[in-house]
Amino acid sequence: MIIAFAGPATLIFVATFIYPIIRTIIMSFFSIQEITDPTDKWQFNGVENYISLWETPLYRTSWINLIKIFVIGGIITLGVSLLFAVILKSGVHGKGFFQAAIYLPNVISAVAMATMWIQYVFNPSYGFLTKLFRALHLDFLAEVQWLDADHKFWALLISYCFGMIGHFMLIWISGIERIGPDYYEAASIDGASRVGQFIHITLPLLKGIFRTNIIMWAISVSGFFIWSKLFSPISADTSTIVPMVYMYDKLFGAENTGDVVRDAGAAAAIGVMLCLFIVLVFTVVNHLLKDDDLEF
Amino acid sequence: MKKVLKRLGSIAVCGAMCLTALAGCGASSSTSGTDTSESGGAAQREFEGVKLVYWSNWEATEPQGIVITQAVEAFEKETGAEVDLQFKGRKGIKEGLIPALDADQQVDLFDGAQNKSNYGERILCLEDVVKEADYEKESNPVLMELSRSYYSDGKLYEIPYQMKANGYMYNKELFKQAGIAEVPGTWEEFLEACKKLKEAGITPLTTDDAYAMQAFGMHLARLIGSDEVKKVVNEGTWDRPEVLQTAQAFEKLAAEGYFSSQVGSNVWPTGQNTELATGTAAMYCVGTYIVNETKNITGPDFQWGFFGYPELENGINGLEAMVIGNQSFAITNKCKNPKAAFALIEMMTRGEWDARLAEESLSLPADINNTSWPEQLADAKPYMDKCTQILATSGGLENNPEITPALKENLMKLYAGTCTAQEFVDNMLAASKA
Repeated sequence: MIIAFAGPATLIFVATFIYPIIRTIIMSFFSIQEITDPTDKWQFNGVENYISLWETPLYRTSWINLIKIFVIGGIITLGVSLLFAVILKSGVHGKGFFQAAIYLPNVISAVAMATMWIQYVFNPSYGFLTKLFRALHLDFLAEVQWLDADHKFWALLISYCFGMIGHFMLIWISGIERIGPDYYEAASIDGASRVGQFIHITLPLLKGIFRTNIIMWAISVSGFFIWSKLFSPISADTSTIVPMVYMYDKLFGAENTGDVVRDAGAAAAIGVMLCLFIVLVFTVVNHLLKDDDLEF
Repeated sequence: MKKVLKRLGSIAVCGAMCLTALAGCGASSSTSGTDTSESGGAAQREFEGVKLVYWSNWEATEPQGIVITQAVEAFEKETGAEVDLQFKGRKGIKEGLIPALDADQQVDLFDGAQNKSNYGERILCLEDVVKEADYEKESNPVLMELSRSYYSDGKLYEIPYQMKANGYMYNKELFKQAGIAEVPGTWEEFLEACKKLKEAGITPLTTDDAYAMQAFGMHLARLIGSDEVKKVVNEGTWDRPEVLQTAQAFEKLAAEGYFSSQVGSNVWPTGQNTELATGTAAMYCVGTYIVNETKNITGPDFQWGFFGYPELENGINGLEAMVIGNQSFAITNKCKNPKAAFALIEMMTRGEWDARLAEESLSLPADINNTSWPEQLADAKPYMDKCTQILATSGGLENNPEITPALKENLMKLYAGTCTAQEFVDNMLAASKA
C-alpha cells in the first residue's frame, strides 16, 4: 500500500531530480560539446574540466564575485532585514504599510528592478543619486560614476540586496513571532533595555532562523544570473560575472566571438561546483549553529 | 442546458480531433503529391501540401518579424506551402535550436546572426540549390564570400540578408553646427572633426560598454589586420607596439575631452539612447543597426550619417577594409524539402520583400537590385560598394570570450581617461597571464 502511494511520487522525483543530478555529475568528467550529444560522443577526461576551469582567470574572478556577494551581500541583506524585522515587531505604527513596502521589490520582476536602478538611480546625468547629492551639495558624491568599472560591482550589490531584504525580513518576522512575549515582559521587569533584550533573548532564539536564512541566501546567490546579465548586457564583465553567467556562456556560447565555442562538460562541472558550494555552506552552518541547546 | 452545452462541447472537441487527424493525413499524402507535381511540372502552387517549420530569431512585434510574417503569408498563398512560422527570439534560437534538432524535432529553416558554423552537420550545404536557382548573380559577392569563409570546406551553408556595416554613426545636424563639411577619411581629419565639435560645445564621442571593443578593434585592425588582432587576444601579445599605439590614440581622445564625461559608466544602451539618439553626443562607433534600435527615441527627423573607420597613416588597410556582416538563413538537415525552404529564403531576400525588410527594419538590403536604401543609411552605401576586404567583428578583438570582460573594463577606463595607454597594456598583459 505504501509503495502504491509513494511509488509514483518517487518515480517522478527520481526522473526529474535524481537523474539530471547524476547525469550532470557524470558529464562533468567528460569532454562534451553539446548538452544533447549522445554518450558515444563523450570523451572521458577525468577531472580535466575542473582543473582547466580553475586555471582560467575569468572563472576564478566569477567565484571571487560570488563569494563577495555571499559574504558582503549576506551581511547587508540579513543584517538590515533583521533590523527591519525587529523594528516592525516592536510595535511601530504603520507596521502593515512598512512591511508591504519593504517586501514590494520582491513582487517586481528583476528585469524591471535592474533597469530602474541602472537608468534611474545610477545614471550619472539624471539619476536619483546624482540629483540627491547635488541637492545636498555633496558634489564629490554626485560625481561618482556608479556604473564605471570601479563601482559597478557595488552598484550591483546594493541593487540586489535592496530587492532581497523584504524576503528575508518576513522570515525573521515569522521567527520573532515564535518567541513568547513573556520573555520580553520578564526581561523588562528585570530592567533589561531593548538592545539587551535583542542581544540576550531575540538573537539566541533566532538561531534556527539564522541557519535557514544563511542557507537560503547561499542558494539565492549561487543562482545569481539575471542581475549580472542586466548590469553587463550582451557580453560579460569582470566586475559582475558570476559562475552561473560563465556557465551559460560555456553552454550556449558567448556573444560576438565570431566562432562560437560551446563546452557542455565544463558547464556541468560548474553546476557541480555550485552545488558543492551550497552543500559546503549547509554543512558549515549546521555545524556552527546547532539548534538543539535551546527549547522555547 | 448545461448538459446540452457539454454535449456540444464534446462534439466540437471530437470534430476538431478528426479534422486534425485528417489534416495530418492530408499533409503526408500531399507531400508525396508534391513529388508528383514537381515531376509533373505544375507551375502554379509549386509546393502545394508541403509543410515547413521556420524558427525565426526575431520577435513577432519587431519590424523584421512583421515583414517576415507578411512574406510568409505571401509565400503560402503563392506556392501552396504551409509554413509554421515560430518567433523564438535570439535566446530561443541560441538555447533551443540545437537541442530541438538533436531531439529530431522538425525545424526546416531558421534565421539568426551570421556564421552558423557551430551548427556543424545540422545545417545543409546550399551550393547546389543556389546554383540551380542562379541565386548568386544578384547577391553582394563580398557577403557571399564572407558567408563561405566561416566553413572549413569553403562552401555555402547560409544565405545572408539584412546587411550591416560598422563604422562611425554620426549626427549630421551636429556636424553642420560645428562647421564640418566633409566626413573624416583619415585619423587626422577625424581628430580635426572632434576638435571642431568640442569647440562648438558638442560632445564628439560616446559609446557603451557592450560596443566599446568596436572602435579600438577597428583601429588596431587598421594597423595589423584582423588575423593579427585575433592573435593578440588569443595569445595575449598585448605588448605589441601597435597595441600601445592604438591605446595612445584613444588616450589622446580622452585627454582632449572628446569622449562624453559619463562614458565610463555607460551600460548599454545608456550611451546610444541618452547621448547619441538625443543629440548630446555626435559620434558613436557601431553598426548601422543602431538606427533601428534607437528609432523610437530619434524620431523620423534625426539626420543620420555614416563614415568608415578612418584610415591611419601607417595602416596596412584603408576604407576598403570594413567590418560588415549580416543576418542569415540556413536550412536544417531535418528539412525534407530543401527546395521549398530555399524558395522561401529566396523570396525574403529578393525583390519586394527584401526591400520591405530593409525599409521597415532600417537595414541594408541583400538584393543588389534593391538600390534604394533607407535614407538614414544611404551614406553607408558608397563604403559598402567599395569594400573589398571584410574585417572580423570589432576587428577580431572579441575573438576570445575569456579576455573580453577584462578588455571591456579596461577600454571603458581608457575612454573615460581613468587609465593611461601604458596602464591599459599592462592591465591586459596581467589579465592574459593571470
